[in-house]
Amino acid sequence: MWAFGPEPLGDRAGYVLAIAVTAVATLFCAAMVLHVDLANLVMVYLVGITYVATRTKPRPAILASFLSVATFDFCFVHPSGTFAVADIQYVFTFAVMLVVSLLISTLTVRLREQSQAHSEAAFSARVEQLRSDLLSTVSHDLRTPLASIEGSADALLAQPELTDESRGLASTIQDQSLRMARLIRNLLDMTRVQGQIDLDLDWQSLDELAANAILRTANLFDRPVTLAAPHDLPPIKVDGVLIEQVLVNFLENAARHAGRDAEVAVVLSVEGEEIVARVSDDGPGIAPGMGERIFERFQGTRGAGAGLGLAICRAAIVAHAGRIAAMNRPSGGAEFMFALPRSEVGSNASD
Amino acid sequence: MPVTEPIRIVIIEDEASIRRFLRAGLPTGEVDWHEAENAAEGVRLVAQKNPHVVLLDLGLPDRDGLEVLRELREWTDVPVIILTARGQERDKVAALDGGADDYVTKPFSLGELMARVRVAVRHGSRMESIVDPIFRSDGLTIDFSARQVWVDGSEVRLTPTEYRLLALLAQHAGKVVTHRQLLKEVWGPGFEDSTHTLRVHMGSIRQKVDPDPTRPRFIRTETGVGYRLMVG
Repeated sequence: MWAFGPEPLGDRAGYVLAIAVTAVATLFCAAMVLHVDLANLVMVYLVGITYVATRTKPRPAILASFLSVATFDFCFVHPSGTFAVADIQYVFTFAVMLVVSLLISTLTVRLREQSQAHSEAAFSARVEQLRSDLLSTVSHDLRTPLASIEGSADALLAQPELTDESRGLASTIQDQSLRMARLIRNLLDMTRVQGQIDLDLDWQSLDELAANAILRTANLFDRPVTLAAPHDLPPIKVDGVLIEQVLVNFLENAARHAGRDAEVAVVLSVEGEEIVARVSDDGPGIAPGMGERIFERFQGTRGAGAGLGLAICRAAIVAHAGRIAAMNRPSGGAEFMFALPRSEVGSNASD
Repeated sequence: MPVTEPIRIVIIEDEASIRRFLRAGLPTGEVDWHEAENAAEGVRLVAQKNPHVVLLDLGLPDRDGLEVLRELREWTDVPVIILTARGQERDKVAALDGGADDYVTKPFSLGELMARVRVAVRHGSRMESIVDPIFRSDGLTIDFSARQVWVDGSEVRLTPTEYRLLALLAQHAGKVVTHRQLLKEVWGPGFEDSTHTLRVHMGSIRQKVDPDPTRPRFIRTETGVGYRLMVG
């Protein structure tokens, strides 16, 4: 494969190149004409045209094609010095030469465009990969010291001789490091759902995921969150960890906006061809005019959760070809919902 | 198991601060603690100390933790608990299917780790003794010989498949059992991917023995990994 210039030459430089290359090809042919058959001289011109095509836009390459045919005729085909052609077979040679050279120039130009598009795509994929690698490395590197801080505070709290004041300080360290761990988890999830998500799809029971989400957020609420689901809720093929995280984020959002003593309910249902999850609270509801923007990054929070939680939810649900929405309930309070398409039971053995 | 001798633990973890808080926080007198900061040293220490439990970090500097696990499993049945991070569910499953007994996710609390350690030690020592014919934990009773199950004194009717699933979890009580392990044990080889079937049966078991999902008493779902029967 020949090398392409990074950018084709500009129009004027392209035409100059076309003329110069044709001239060089003609000089070369003039030197060779006594030793080489005329038909083979055509090849020299074709090399020149190919070179022009690799360096220029289509028009100069086409010019080189016509110019080559003309000079070949004028300089070498009998009677030379005129455009007249004595032997009719050279008309055929000209036609073939023109067609081949036009073909070469268009194909070369297209090849270069493809190769450029390809390298641009490869470049942006690499940038995306780097960005996501960087974030996940940073998150991972942050998480390890954080686990040590959290554990050390835990070990400190286990010391019996601790004063009340020291105990208070140690539990602050512990609480805040857990909070920071949550923020880092959000960051990691965001890089995951923003990049090329590699969904770990498997059959899951949505009620189990919801129950886990409720357990994981139990320390945020004074009143237990309720869960209602039909007994025959069918399993659904999703990335369980990600969907559980969506429910956790909904619940964390409810705790943040409706408060610790909010009445929060998770309701699961089958509606037509969808399985639907709703998380509702009795808090102040969503600010008017917020609408869909609540799912954008750094919206819908008051700085407490880095503003990523709901954006992660949307990206995760979209990746599952589902719907996500937030609304105010007629009776007051907010409701966040997502709907996932029911999964077909496929070639699963024994089903 | 009579608690006469302390639990001998070997930890293989490169992060010094994690080893340090564990050393400081674990109950002295109850634990005999040995540390290795890389895989080579860790394997040597396991051979030398013959521990009751090994704590193994998956991200070691010199070798992949899964590889270390495989090597240990060539010559020892010592219970291995994996120290891992959230979001590494595939690694957890690979470790459990590769012979690890359990895992804890960083950040973990000392209480959580000690609970896992005690369960692992109990299972480790039970391997030599006879399996108890009756399982009792909290309000759940399983009679393995009669294949009967009671919750809070009243008998629960399970289908044969449901019974086998629950019995399997009870035999590994306190430990997580992966989907693959459950499918392989109950349905046999070739059915390891039938997770849809597994979900349906587990849902049915939970409705019979553990009807309030927001306050599970017996069965915990470990998302992306498997199920765990909790011990009282």
